[in-house]
Amino acid sequence: MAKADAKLKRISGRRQQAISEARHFFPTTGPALTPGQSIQPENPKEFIMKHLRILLLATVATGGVFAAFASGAGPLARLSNSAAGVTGANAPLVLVDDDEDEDEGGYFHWKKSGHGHDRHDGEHHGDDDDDDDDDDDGQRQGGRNNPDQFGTTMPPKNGLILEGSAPKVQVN
Amino acid sequence: MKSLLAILSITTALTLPGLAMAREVTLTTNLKNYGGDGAYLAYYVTDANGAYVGSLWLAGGKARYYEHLSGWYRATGGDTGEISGITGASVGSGRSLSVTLDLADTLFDAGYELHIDAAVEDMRDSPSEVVVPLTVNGSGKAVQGSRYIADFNYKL
Repeated sequence: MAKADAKLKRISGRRQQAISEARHFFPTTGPALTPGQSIQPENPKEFIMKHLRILLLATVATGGVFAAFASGAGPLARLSNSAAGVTGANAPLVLVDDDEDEDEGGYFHWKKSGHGHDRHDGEHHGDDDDDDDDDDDGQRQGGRNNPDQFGTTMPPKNGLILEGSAPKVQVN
Repeated sequence: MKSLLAILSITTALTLPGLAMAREVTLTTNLKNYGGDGAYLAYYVTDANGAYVGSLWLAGGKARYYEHLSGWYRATGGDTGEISGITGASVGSGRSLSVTLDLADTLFDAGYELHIDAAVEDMRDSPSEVVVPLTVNGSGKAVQGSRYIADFNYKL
């Protein structure tokens, strides 16, 4: 009996010690709950305000990110400038005359080295196939280089086409 | 509380438009059966004053023939940098070309016009064969060409 009492005292002592240590790590800041009582915010308004503030901050941050993106996409803003600004500060304004007489365009023979201009000489040159040739006629004639085909490089940054976008082409 | 809600609505309204800066536009060109070789086509934009702004597409890969796209050539001096990455093959007689690009929203309803120059080997040049104002209402409306182009339309 005495042994049992001593054992009980040791257990209760250890329990008390454990409780006091737990309180050290998990201090209570409010009154203990009674059975059946649930936790409720002291002020519901404050609860809503707190969450609204968080939402507002998130929206402002998102707006800032988009604003930074918009400012980064600088070329698109060039459309609001004058044409002279777009083409270069010192570049002369080039007008495209819509009223030009078609006849002034001329009747031309496309120059092909080593070939006659007569299309009826039996040498028919394919239409699309010409553009796939790897010849360097452009180089021989004044060093004018052919432009990069689509798919090999990104479109120019001219403020018209979204930077980084790739064109899609279909020929029927 | 009410002021916070008001501020929240304003910031949201200012944020959303930033998402819509460009839109996908498809340019469709149908050529006539003109009975010649592949046509070179230059698509470029001018502003309300008629000044060149930039190029959208050039069908035809050989730079030495670009001088026959005389409207485009006069505006750019034949600078191939203007069409780097937006060049494809010429388009055959009777065929159609569809090009889809992400274009800036500010191009529409702001006085900008799209020009198409056309040229075919051993045939006449056709500068500005098609000229259409870029407007939202103009989407899907076909415009006829005068020489090589049967019709052209753009769709937003």
